[in-house]
Amino acid sequence: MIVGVGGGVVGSNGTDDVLLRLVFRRMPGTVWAVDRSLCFTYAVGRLVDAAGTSSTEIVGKTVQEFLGTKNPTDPGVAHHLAALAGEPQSFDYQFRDRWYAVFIDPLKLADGKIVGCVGAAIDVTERRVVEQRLAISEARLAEAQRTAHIGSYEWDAATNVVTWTDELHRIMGLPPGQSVQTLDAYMALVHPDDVEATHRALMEASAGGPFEYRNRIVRADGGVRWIQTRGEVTKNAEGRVTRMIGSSWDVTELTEATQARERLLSLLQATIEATEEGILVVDRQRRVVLRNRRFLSLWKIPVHLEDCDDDLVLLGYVRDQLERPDEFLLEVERLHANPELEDCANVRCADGRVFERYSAPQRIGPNVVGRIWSFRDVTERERQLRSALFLSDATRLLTSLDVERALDGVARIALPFMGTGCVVDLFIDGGPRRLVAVSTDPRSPTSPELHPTVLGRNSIVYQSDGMSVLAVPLLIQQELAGAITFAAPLRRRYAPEDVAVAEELARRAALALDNATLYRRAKDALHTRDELLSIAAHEIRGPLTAIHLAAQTIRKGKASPDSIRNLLAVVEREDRRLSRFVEELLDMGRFREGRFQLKYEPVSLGEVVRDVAGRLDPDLVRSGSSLSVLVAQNVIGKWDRFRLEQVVTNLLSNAIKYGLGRPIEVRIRAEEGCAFLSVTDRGIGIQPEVVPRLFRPFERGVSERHYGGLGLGLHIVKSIVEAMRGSVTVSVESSPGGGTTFVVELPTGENEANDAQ
Amino acid sequence: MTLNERILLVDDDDDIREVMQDVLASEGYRVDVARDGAEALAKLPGLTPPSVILLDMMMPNMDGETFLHALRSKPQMADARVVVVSGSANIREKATAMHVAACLVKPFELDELLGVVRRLTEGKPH
Repeated sequence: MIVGVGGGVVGSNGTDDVLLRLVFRRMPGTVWAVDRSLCFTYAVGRLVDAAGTSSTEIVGKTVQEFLGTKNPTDPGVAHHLAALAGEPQSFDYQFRDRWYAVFIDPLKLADGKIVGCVGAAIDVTERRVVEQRLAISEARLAEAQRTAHIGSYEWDAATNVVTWTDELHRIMGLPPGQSVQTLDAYMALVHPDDVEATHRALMEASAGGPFEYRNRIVRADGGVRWIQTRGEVTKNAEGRVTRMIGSSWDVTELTEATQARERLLSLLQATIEATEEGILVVDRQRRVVLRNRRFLSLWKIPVHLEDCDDDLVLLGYVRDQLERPDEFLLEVERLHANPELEDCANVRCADGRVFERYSAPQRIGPNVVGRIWSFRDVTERERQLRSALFLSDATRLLTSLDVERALDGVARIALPFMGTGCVVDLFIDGGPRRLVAVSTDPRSPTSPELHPTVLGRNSIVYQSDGMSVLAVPLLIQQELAGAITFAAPLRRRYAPEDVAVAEELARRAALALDNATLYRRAKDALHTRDELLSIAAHEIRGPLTAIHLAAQTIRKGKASPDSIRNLLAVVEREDRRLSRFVEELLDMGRFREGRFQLKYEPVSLGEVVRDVAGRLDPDLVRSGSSLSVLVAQNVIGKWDRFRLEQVVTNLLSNAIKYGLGRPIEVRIRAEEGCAFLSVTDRGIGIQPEVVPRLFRPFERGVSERHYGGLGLGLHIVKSIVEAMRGSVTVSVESSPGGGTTFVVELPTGENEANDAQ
Repeated sequence: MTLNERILLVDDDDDIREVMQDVLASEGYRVDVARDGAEALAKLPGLTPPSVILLDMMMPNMDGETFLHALRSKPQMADARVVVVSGSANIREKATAMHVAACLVKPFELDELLGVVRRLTEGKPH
């Protein structure tokens, strides 16, 4: 651009010089020539103008004078001196706030002698500013890249050379300068699992335009890093890729944090959805920030409200399902007004469900930002608890031996748990009767009809008179002993669990009734034993007294021979009476334990009756009764003679004893393999209510102990007859004192010879 | 003397009645018998009033206690001394409560019977 010209050479032609000066003035440069003493011989250009002087004025001045310095080390001076030494100089120099690129060459003559030097300067102030800015900006970029961990790369397709910034080296774990030279070398760094995806991303990028992908690279030390890469592909006019330029940055921490967050969120979500509890989280502004599916299903939230974030709307919907809505709303408001409170309570729904409600503040650090509500359906747990409590209370009541009073108490504690009405019916101890009927609801029928299913000994749930009814039988040893019936408004549907509780209650009540019966029987048995002992004492004392008196009278020798005979007969009779008494007692034991032998042989019933009648003749005579025996035919059967005599004796003795001296009639007949023996008296008769227990041991048709005997006679008759597979019945005349007829029916037993028990 | 003393014997046990009647008769008493309270009440109006009534407690139709009540309601029988006869263990307390002259617990000795009857007939004014 600038040609330095020696002073002697330039300016020989005045016109040329003017022209030259014009040219240089147009150019942003300055040229000059100095002699060996550094005096200007020529100078033209902007630099001269800038110095506020003219070309002609400058000639003759030294460089030092022009620059205004005496310092020989000033670059402006030193470079001239160096050029005079023969070395061309090139340097930047600042002069009066402007920078110049300066070139100084030695001016040699043909013989090589250096006579001076020529210089040229170009104002590079603007360029330098740009260069400085660029440098700063590059430094800043590098710093920014270092700070942001962003590295840049450039790939030149023509040379297949990849250029990386230092930061990219750091990111890739390579020493700066050790550049990855080719695309293949770059691909070698990529994590094996991401090679394919990276390839695909680069292939897609080669279509042109901006691109972005994320992959993992494996550093030399084995560390794996996530790298985000973006860039742009440049193509030439033919559409061939010429360059790829872009940047990469390490997103490992971000990726891992994101992944950890996703894992945490997923865990949280899964946990919230997996729990049995319905969860709702509300912020301080009463906006819903979270709810799980269980919450929606527990409260039967309709689909259109599933995403509703207004707590008050949801609350309004919930409130309509509650048994005591106002109470619940008050609680909710109290908890919202006291953000720090933690609280737990049970909530009852109108449909019978029970939720356990828990509420606690949600905190971020020390600050309460919202409130967590959780609801758990504890209906079954509550029901079981209440069932257990109810059954335990009922059982405690039922331990009383006064079961009827206990059942009354049980019916009362059963309400309202088991319904609004409860009725207990008993069929034992005197026939069907309504023991208890309680009700807390005027609509509950207190007199429901007993359902046939219950009478058939099964539980049933049914509807009657607009009520739900649950009825269970009271079974004592599988026998129907009564029933418990519960009633409730229709909206309560008795469930299988209710039936189970009622049945368990019935089982315990039946057990209590059974226990009470056993207790009463045991008491009765004790009483009976005392009675027996008392009667036995009486029975023994009678004969003993007679024997005593007879023996002592005879010993005194005062009695006449007739009287002695008479007394001895008494002794004999009383002796027999005692023997018979002892025998009866022993028989009693044998029958009870089922150990007595029957010796079957052909026996004539008429003969037995006649024999017994003969033996009892003295008693008959004394009683004043007459005896007629009517034998329709000769009846012979296979029976135990001795036992049959016992039967006839006991029946006839009874007739004599209670016959009031009136005629006694015995009839014998046979019919279809059965013999019938009837004994009829016209005596005091038997009260109808006594008949059912007439054949029990120690029972007598008379209420008080007015008559002698153990009360075993009829029991023995029945035991013997039944052992011989027969039966004995009694028919009583309706009018008191109308007499009694006993009928014994015995199979004649041709086919049952020697069938001993 | 006991010769004309009359005794009414009420007992449902035939043998006891027979033996006691024999014994008392051989001691010189005049003995009337009845097998229960009802029969005794029925017989009484037709009898010379007895000095002593030997009364069994446990009898059919009408027991001793019922008979005693009926007897006490009859002014002409106010003098009769009643001896209750029973096999019950607690008859002594009962006898005291019923204000009877004596009681005999079965089985009793012949001397006991005769002693009681004698004591009651001897102290009786004629």
